[in-house]
Amino acid sequence: MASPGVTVEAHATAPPPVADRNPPPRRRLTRRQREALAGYLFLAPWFLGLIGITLGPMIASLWLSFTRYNLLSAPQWTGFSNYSALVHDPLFLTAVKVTLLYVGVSVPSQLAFALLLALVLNRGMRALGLVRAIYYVPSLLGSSVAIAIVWRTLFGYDGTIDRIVEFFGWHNPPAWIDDPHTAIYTLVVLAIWQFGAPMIIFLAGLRNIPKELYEAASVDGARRFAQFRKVTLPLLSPLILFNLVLQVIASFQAFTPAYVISGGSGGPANSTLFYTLYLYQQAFGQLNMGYGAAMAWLLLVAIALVTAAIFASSRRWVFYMDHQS
Amino acid sequence: MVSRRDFLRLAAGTAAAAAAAPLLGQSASASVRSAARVKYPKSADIQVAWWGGTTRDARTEEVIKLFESQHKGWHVTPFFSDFSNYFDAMNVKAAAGDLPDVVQLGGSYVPEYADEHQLLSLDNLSYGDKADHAKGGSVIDLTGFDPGQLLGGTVNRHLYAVTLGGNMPAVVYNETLIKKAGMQPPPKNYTWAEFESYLEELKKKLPSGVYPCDDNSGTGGPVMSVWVLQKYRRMYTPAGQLAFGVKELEDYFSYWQNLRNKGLIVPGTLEAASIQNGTNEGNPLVLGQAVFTFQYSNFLSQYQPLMKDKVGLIRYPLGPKGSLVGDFVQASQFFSVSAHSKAPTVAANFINFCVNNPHAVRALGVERGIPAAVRNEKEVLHSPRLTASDRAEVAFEAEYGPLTRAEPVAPGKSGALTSIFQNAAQDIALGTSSISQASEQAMSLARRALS
Amino acid sequence: MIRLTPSRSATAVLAWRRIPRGIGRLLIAAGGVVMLYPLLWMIGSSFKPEGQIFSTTGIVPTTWIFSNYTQGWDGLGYSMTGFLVNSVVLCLLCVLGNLVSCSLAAFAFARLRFPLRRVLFAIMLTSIMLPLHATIVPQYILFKYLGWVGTIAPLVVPKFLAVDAFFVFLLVQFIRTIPRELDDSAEIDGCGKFRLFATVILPLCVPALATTAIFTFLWTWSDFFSQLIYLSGNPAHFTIPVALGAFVDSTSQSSWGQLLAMSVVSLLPIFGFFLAFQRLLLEGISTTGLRG
Repeated sequence: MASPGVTVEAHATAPPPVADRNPPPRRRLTRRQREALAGYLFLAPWFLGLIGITLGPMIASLWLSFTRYNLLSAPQWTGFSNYSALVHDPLFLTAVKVTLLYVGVSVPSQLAFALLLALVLNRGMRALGLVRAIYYVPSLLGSSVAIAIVWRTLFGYDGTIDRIVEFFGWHNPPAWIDDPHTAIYTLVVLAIWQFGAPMIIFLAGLRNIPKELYEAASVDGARRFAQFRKVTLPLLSPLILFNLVLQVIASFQAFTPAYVISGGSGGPANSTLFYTLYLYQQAFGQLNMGYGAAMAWLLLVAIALVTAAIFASSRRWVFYMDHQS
Repeated sequence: MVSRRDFLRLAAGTAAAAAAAPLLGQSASASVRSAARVKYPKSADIQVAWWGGTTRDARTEEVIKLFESQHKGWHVTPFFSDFSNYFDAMNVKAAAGDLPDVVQLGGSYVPEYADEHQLLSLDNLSYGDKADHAKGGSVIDLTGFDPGQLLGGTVNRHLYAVTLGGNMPAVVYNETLIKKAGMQPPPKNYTWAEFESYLEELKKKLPSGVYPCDDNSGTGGPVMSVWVLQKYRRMYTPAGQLAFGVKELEDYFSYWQNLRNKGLIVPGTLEAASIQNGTNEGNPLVLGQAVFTFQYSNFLSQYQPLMKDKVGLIRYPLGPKGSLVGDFVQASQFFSVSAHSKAPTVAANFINFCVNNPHAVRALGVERGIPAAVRNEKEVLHSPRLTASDRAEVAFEAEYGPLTRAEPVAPGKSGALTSIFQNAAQDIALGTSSISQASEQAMSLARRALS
Repeated sequence: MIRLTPSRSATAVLAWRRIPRGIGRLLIAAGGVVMLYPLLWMIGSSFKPEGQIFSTTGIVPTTWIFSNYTQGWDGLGYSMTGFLVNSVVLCLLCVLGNLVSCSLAAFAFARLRFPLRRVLFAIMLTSIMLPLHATIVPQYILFKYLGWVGTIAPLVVPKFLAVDAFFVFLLVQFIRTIPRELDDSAEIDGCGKFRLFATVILPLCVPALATTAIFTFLWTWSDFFSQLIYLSGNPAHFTIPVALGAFVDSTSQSSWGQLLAMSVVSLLPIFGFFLAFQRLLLEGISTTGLRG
């Protein structure tokens, strides 16, 4: 059986097409073995990256999570003390709550919004490219310092939003971004507003749905909604799965929005203290890299569990064209 | 008349903590120059790192060009960034033993980096008024430097950092608004209690939407330090723990809470907005929302260009009768040499150039603080580039600096305290925690951070 | 939650179809304003004097100044032109790297059967679950050990080694929407795996490849911290995000006006790149031909 190590060596002498045409002389490979060999060859760059670049720092951070490490001098092994300290850290628990709320609210709303807009913008329309580009502008701006100021002018005390709702008769509206009860939702709105990435992916997927399938469906007299349910949704489901998994991972790890908007503090009153923001404050602000690493690995486990659950459920709702298990 | 420097030397010599004694207690000698010649490499490439905005970048790059033109064969590569990202980058580089040759540091980073052997001791590269500064070096001339600021760059009796200029706590106020209200700024030697009644008086005469004072309970200036030092000889015990208890923290927060309840300081949400903004442009004083804000003196010349109203400086309020002096002149930032520098003599030479070369001193002005030696302060005053606010800062420090105490020496781990106390102050301001709850929690977090 | 999503969108789409065209267009236009407002604010404020950016709320400046652009262009002592060129070169290299390496890996995961495929796929996904802050220090030490610090290698080489698992996953999901019958007919024609990949699968993946290109470009364009620490050797190597990060400082005088002006300038290349590549999103099975 071919192992990854063997494959990497083989790569130097046998690029994929050659491997197919000239089977190694010692013994004939079966079709299966040839396919496996090709698989490893295609993965060769990735293997190299995994072993050379990704894995080392990951393992190092796992080790650091069992140490006391202030970046400036050598780490000292402390066993599980970082992990046990987490349980008694009130700010850690705050960060977990804030993050769960953020993931729970922002992921479904952003995906729904992205899918809706992709469906709308996939239709024939004059200046479609321009409209699509305009709707993508928020995502182009990213979570830059400039966006942070805009968000504060919009949602700040006496900001644009306040003036609008006051116009409609809501007296003394909250200070949204400066109020601990509402600040997190301004970040949710920011996430929804930057729906461009999943929208583009949905659009790409929609373009790939063969028109024939729609034609067939309409011959059957299927109505538009049925068409959507029976053709669009199943064929888009692999990309819905993709967007869901990626947004879950990205939202659990969300850092920049809270960092730039709260000026790095996670305020007001820790109401936007995202998990990774607290991790950052510990690792870089207080130079507790060991503690930060422990937080990172707990996060990895949490994300992995959620992702695994999504994948497990996907067997029931994701439809692939390649008839592969 | 006793000059400011002499006074400080005196004050520092008597009032400073034990750590200072070996440095300052010895009898003064004339500047001692080592006979040993420093060997400089013919060609060298050093990296110089600092944080700051565009004004500082331009001034520093001007000095670098000057330095390179006078030292053929030596090349300086600048590294600059804003404050928060700067230290993230420096910490990563320090972890890899890769700190830039010359690195700008501030506050607790000097002891932190020195304790962990990231910095080169400058004892052998500098000379000054005191024998301790003259262990054979002849690169950095520290004669006439303010001993208090030198102390700020000294860790375990070794000099690790050279001050780039000093500043001191100061209250910045909006003079125009006070005049419009038909009032005068608070008189000299006012106390915290008098400040409160002054604000009450002012509040009656201010237009609506303008608060008498910024909420500086957690941010802005070194308010808590000054408050504590008016009652305690020091902030930290020799073991590096806080020298005061929860009770003191509660008293401090209560003072601010009282002002808040009377509507004398900006509400928590406005303060939260200013923390989020993080820059001068978001400060309530600059935005015309507050008349007073507690800061350092060098902020005058940063606020003034952003405002139409005229701004001025006064000293922090004093404690009640019998209190200690709480304010201090401090080095606002330092240059240090990395322990891993391949050209330490060139790096030290560059630092000397920045703090002593007349052209460089003029180019840098008072942007990083007022030069720590009288001779260089005079040099700066000749510079036509000095603004009226810059001159006001120099005059302020000349008047009040001599009345201050020596800067409290903070332990390396104290860097984390800023955010801990800021969080506590904000919890109280926004009503998410009571004063006693917030104080308890801040105290226990602080103890953990310092241990 | 997931099941709710599609049906809600579906009814919305239906509703949209029923409303007269004019109103639909009006809605889209109104949405466009909401989308554009921050950009307009940014552009407007970039023409305001420093003191008015935070004290006035309107988009249109009361006094127009252009100095934020003229002074900001070389506000850091180095011309913005150099930063733009550096960023464009870096981004294009990263785009190239991701397109090549991620599509190779994705083809293997999506179409080829080999031992440990699922395990390796899981490892790949896991590798993007660890937040950057936990690995940045060991990674920096690794790159310093390799002698890459101060060059663009730490930013570019990983892209050629498919380290951005995000895109591998995207391409895998995309390839799996392509009917397998196409492979089978190609293989009957005697087509090897590499030719199958290059001549059948890749052309069908153009939308996903365009997506990969767009995102790689955008994210590299705005990726601040790794560019700060790895390119820090010399301001001549600075990229746009590193340069923008130097305009505003919390401890000294900031130049918000110049920051906004240069942010506007820095948006032009990415907007151009987006407009150019989004055309490719329109291609897909419908144009590259499933019928053949």
